[in-house]
Amino acid sequence: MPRHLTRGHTRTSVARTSVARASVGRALGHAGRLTRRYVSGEHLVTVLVSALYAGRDPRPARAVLHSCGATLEDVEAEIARRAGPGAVLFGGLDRDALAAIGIDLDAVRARIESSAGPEALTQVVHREPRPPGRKGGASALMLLARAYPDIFEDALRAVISKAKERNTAEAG
Amino acid sequence: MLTRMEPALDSAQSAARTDPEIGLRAVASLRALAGRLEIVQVQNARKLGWSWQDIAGRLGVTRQTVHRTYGKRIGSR
Repeated sequence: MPRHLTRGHTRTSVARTSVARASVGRALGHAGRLTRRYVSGEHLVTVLVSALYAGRDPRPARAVLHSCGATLEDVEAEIARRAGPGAVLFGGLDRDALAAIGIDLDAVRARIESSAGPEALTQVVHREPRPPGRKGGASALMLLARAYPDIFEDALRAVISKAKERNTAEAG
Repeated sequence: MLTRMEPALDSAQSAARTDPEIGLRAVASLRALAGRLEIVQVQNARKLGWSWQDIAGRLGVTRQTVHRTYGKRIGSR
């Protein structure tokens, strides 16, 4: 695997260069061709994080996750569980820019979380109308990945690890 | 809470007055936030039995618009 795809370089370099995006595409294809037996959890995390940060089509990432028995929805649910019920609703918003026009996003979040149920909050982005002129809006997972990078990576690792445990239990 | 936020908000607000980058990003986030809050509120109103007509009236749009936007997503219960 190229050095820039190894863990630790993911966020700083991979997601932000076009050369790296091409490498991510190749790595995804490579990972997709391998069976779950040979792909390590860490390899999957690196490739998936890179792909989703680069704003790529989520379908290859979905296919790679499926190959180890997990889904993007599992990852979304895990992030929502770790980041709180309003994570999806408030993910991907520019907190600093909103503060600049006098809107304290944390205060808004606290009010909304206390008045709406957790289910209503986590389903919102799936229901967000597509912005005009776009064929498809950003997926909920991409929004979450950008809004909560550390939680995203940990959640991905946890979901893959659980899926592997399930696979081992089924095989045994 | 409000007191602690005030200095940060003050400096951020003065930056927004002069920097279109910040101002425009704020508008984009505000639009996204408004859209998402609208979904939460429409969901809640439907759960409480409000009609599409009543919801549309409060949002200042036609019943057809609100139904077209949320009918399938939220359900026509």
